[in-house]
Amino acid sequence: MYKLSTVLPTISFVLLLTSTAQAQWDLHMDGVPLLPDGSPDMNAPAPRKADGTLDLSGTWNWIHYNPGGVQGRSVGEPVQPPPGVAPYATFWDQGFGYENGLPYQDWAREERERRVANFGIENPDSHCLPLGHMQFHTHNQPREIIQSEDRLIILYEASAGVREIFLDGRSLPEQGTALPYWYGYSVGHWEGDTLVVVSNNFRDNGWLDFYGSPTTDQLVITERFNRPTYGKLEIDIIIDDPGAYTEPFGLRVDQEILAGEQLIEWVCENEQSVQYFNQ
Amino acid sequence: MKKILMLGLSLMLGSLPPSLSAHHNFLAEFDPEQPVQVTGTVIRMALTNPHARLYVEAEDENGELVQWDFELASVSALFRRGWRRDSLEPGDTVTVHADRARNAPNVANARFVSLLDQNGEEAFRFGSPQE
Repeated sequence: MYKLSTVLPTISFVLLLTSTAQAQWDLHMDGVPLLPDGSPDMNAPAPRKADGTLDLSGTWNWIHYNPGGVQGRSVGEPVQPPPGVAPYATFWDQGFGYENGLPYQDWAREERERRVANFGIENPDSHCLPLGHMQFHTHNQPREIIQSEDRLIILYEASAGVREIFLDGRSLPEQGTALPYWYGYSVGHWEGDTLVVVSNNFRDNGWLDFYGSPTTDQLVITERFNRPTYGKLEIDIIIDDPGAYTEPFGLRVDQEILAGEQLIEWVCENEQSVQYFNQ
Repeated sequence: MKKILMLGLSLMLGSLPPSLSAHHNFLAEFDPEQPVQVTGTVIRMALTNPHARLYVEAEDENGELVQWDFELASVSALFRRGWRRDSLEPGDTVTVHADRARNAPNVANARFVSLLDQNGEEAFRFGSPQE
């Protein structure tokens, strides 16, 4: 319980703290389109490179449409996407938006149940290992896209993840010919203003979500990146893993820009939690 | 002044739990059916990822001094919600509401941290206290 004499002056500080907090965070607003009130214009046209290519660069925050329970778990009724759009992805359960869940093969369903019963202690995230595309896309920590003519680099603050997407016209290697990658091998090309990225050669025993929907080394992920406005990133994803699922399925990830912001270093160190996990 | 600013930030940012984070399933390590409330002295704050940790010395039920190890969210998550390097310093008196670890004594996941000034008044809070 606060004393009124403390609350009133504190509230006045709150109004001042907006700019103070931004100054502390050293926001870099050069090039950010602004509204008359000085706030970022999220509906401004998306930026483009000198050659007219859409520019996806920026620091992005996942939009969690579905209500968050403990640790941000999706609960309640799934928020419906626009017509024709796949269900929204969620960090904990990629099947949340599907009425009957994901199309698991029997072994995959059993494996997921085992992982849930084990409190997910085998999740790569729990051991400071790469989370996998979908957990990275839907993590509550931001990610930064850096785009050049022949590369798209995605830096994930969570677990200091790094993805390199080749835009230089090379072909995707045959499945099973490249090293098994934690992040998969990714190549992309532009179809108008949509960047289409295909990834394969993933390691086996992957985690699609925090609950542990499995993926195998047969996984192929197709992502279609769109940036309809300055402040919005839309990613339409197809998960195609004949080793774990009976058919491909789609997911949608929306992100909003964190104008002027940067990632904070996140090195997984001094991990003292593992010793206390309930074995 | 620092503490007043921090109090204002926490009000502005709302009651976000200091432990909100992924990395591992909360239930793998902690038991929400075993809440604990500890008031003691800050030994140190470890600003680390995946979890920051707050070490507090407090008296147990026998009056003996014990060291508590409280797990918080990642440092980046805390900093985005207003926590700063000097938000808590050795010697500060804090009250922590937490959920005990399943497999270790004096280890818990912090839901709420409150800093008390030398007059026993709350000067900084973060998260939501347990009912």
